[in-house]
Amino acid sequence: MKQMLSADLKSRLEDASDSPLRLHDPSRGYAGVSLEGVAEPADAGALSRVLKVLDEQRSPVAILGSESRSWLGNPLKPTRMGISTARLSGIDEFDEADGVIRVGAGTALDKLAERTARSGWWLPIDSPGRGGTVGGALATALCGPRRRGFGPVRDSVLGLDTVLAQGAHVRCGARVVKNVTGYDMAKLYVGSLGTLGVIERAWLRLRAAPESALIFQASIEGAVHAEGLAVARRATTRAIAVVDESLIPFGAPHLGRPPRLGKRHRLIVEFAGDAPAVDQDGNWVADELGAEPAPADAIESLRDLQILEFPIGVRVRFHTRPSQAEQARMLLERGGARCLICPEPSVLTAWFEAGLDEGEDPWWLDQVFAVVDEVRAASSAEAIIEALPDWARGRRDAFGGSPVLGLMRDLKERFDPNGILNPGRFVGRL
Amino acid sequence: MVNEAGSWISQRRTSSRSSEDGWIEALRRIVGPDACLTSKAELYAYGCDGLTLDPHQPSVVVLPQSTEEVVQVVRACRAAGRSFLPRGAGTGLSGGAHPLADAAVISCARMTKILNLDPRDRLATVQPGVVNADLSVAARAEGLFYAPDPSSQQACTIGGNVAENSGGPHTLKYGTTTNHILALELVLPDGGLVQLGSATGGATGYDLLGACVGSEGTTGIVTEITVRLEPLPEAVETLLVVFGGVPDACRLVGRIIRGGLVPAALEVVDRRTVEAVEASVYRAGLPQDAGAVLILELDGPACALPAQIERIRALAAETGASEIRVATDEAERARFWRARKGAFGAMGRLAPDLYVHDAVVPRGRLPEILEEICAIGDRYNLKLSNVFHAGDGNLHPNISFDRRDPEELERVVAAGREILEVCVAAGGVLTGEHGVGTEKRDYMGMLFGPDDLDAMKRLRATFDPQGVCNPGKIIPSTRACIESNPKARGYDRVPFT
Ligand SMILES: Cc1cc2nc3c(=O)[nH]c(=O)nc-3n(C[C@H](O)[C@H](O)[C@H](O)COP(=O)(O)OP(=O)(O)OC[C@H]3O[C@@H](n4cnc5c(N)ncnc54)[C@H](O)[C@@H]3O)c2cc1C
Repeated sequence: MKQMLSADLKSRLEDASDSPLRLHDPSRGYAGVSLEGVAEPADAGALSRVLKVLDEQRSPVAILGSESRSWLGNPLKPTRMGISTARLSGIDEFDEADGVIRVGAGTALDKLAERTARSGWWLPIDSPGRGGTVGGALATALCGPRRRGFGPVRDSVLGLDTVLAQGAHVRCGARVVKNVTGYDMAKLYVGSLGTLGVIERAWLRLRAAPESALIFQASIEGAVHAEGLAVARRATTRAIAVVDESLIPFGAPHLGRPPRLGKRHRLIVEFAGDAPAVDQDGNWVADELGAEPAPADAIESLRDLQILEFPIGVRVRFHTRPSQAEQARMLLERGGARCLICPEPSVLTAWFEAGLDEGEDPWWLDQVFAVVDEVRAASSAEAIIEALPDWARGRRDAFGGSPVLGLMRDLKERFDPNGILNPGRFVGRL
Repeated sequence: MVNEAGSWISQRRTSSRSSEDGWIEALRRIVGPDACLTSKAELYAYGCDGLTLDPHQPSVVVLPQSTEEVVQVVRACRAAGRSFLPRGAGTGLSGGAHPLADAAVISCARMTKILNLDPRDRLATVQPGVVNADLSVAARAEGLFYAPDPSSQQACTIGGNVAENSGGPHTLKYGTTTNHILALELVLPDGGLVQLGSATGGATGYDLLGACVGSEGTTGIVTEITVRLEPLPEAVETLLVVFGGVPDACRLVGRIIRGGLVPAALEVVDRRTVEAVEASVYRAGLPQDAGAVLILELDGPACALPAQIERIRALAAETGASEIRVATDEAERARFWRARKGAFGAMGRLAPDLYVHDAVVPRGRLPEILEEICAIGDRYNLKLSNVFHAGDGNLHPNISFDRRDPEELERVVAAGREILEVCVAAGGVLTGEHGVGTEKRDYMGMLFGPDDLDAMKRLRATFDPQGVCNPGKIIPSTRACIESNPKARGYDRVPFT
């Protein structure tokens, strides 16, 4: 039986957040549930008050950014309330001399990137897809093709303000670029999918815009991971991916026609840095692989492709060691998948698409899971299921568990004793 | 006890245990008699780390050689109700390896194997006692190196580096230890064994690996470390830029950062340090009248460096540099670096003791903060010199003193504290690479409120609910917080603990 948000709770939440609850679009749903109301606190104090009310009521809550990456993780356990970071947005301070910036969690990534670029700084976050907020990018810690140059999301986070489930407003880190004062708490919140605390503000480290950047594409075949790795290890490689050609019309049509017809994979690489070094790498890739210039938005196209979903399909991300990636790719292709490969660090995104007659067939899904398990075992890979048909969501832990789940559960209990924050979404359904 | 100046000189242990033969016997059986030290003379060396004031003799030191031995040692300690702490080479500068409260020292100094060095995946797996520099030497044959390079790298261990999240001159471009650790094997304080992280760099779940790096030996004993190795750069250029004073050198640093250049290293050495170095065995041929020198290293593709040097020349000229030297060969490069790396040793000429302070400020504020720091040194009538990682805003005000003079020691402590206050007020932090340990534990309240520290306690308790692993480090008592910053938010609401 569906329970409704009580009038009393609703009014307490509105008092706490100093604003009316927003209605959530019931047709959209959110991570497998439909939310009855969304609080939109405008500052840390209001956020803290809202969380206190919810925690006292043991009322689970979904933490919402722009909802652009709600596909990541397990379905929520029954949850009726959401907290949106929409009003926790804006740039508090931008130290252009130092290349550091303090922003609210609800700040839109694209607007922020635009602003920093105007001052010659790059926002080193390239989450798959478009849109999104700072808080969401940090909580999901997803990386796009520029991970090669930018490093993981956590490397760009200098300090965080978070609000814990019971309302404590907690700071960690600072604005400086080097810091070992106490435990490195920011690492815990980054990538925790909002299950340990709500990220409210962040100090981020920016990267100087390069003097020169060039993007190339080439058609390749055979040992494609090895080819990709050689390109990835050039001095100025900032972004790289090798894509199954057949995915491009669906997910990244802007990339245009392949440089050479008949080859199964396309390599896209961005070199960035000092002009002479970028030119040197550009000449090299043209000579070695017959690469040609690619469209200026090729990297954005790749990020679009990363979140491609087939009507009935499964998308899985694998992390392997470079030496095991080729084997993983071959096993996946043999198992019917098509891949996008970032060679170093080696991340393979694999798409399995069901045929018409396989429709809602659990047998088909079991076959896919068997391939996933085979790759995981043979290549010592971590596998994260990113997309499943609706009827199959929640069948498996999307993160595939963890050998240290006991420690993680203990940590979660210490930070969120009543388990109200994004319940069920994270690894081990924490 | 915190002394008047709120110092890192803590209360001397008053009680000692005598009837612990059974426990020591158990440890001996695990590691063998020559790896279990109990005599006063043997224990002497383990009473402190590089922060040599106020040593505490441990009850016993064990030197296991394998993970299995570490597990058994920890279990034996737990069975005997004893606390313990891990130790590497003891070069730490914040008291992290100081044994408090009769703790047993578990030294990893004999766990020195490089277990695997894999050029294909550019990684290595090592035991914690491997000396930092030895790993880079081993990797060089494969065209690789281990990037974090603390100035103590000839002695300090990778285990200690992990625990302190150590940096070094090349942190500016390559990051600190945390950016290079893929996985850890950790013996938990209850004797359990876990693997954190993954050689793939993509472990799922909470980033416990990231939280353990820099935890100063309070989350368990690291027994294996998988690190990322970097390719040796194609070309390296080392420059020495001479200035009339430190503020000008810092201004050049600011312009370089703002200009989008990312040198591998940007290190400033001040006049007093130059004088000490030039009078010592580390002599580097620096101009004696230099107010400050900036050691600047560029690395990367050979074709990119000439243009970078030209840009730096132009910026340096605008900032008032009196001379720029570009090392013409490896010998000259090594000489430039000697001025930096030999600085601490050379300081021995100024006084018997050296307090190496460590704090970080926003890079744009370096010139003014350094002036304030020098003024503090003068006001306390201390010999204060500066040699630091300017590119990261990571200061090392060094105070030369004589510990036999208690009054001078008090001035050192008071000045050290004031320096931190100035840095924190400028948006900086208490430590950039040496850690909190016991040295800065009671200053944590300058930066963090009770809720912030409480979150840290929650993390620590996840690994060590009983608080038996390296007790007394990092987290201060509430009283110490109030004393360090009575105006900090929230302390008035918290009862003393
Ligand atoms: C001359 C000099 C120069 C220095 N320069 C730098 C510098 O440039 N950058 C920098 O960052 N530091 C520097 N340091 C400080 C010091 O060298 C580093 O902190 C170093 O990482 C300590 O390593 P260690 O092996 O000596 O560890 P120790 O001093 O023995 O221990 C340090 C901490 O690590 C813990 N620990 C040790 N081994 C383990 C383990 N296996 N598992 C878990 N915890 C463990 C200990 O409990 C302790 O808390 C310098 C020190 C000196 C004396």
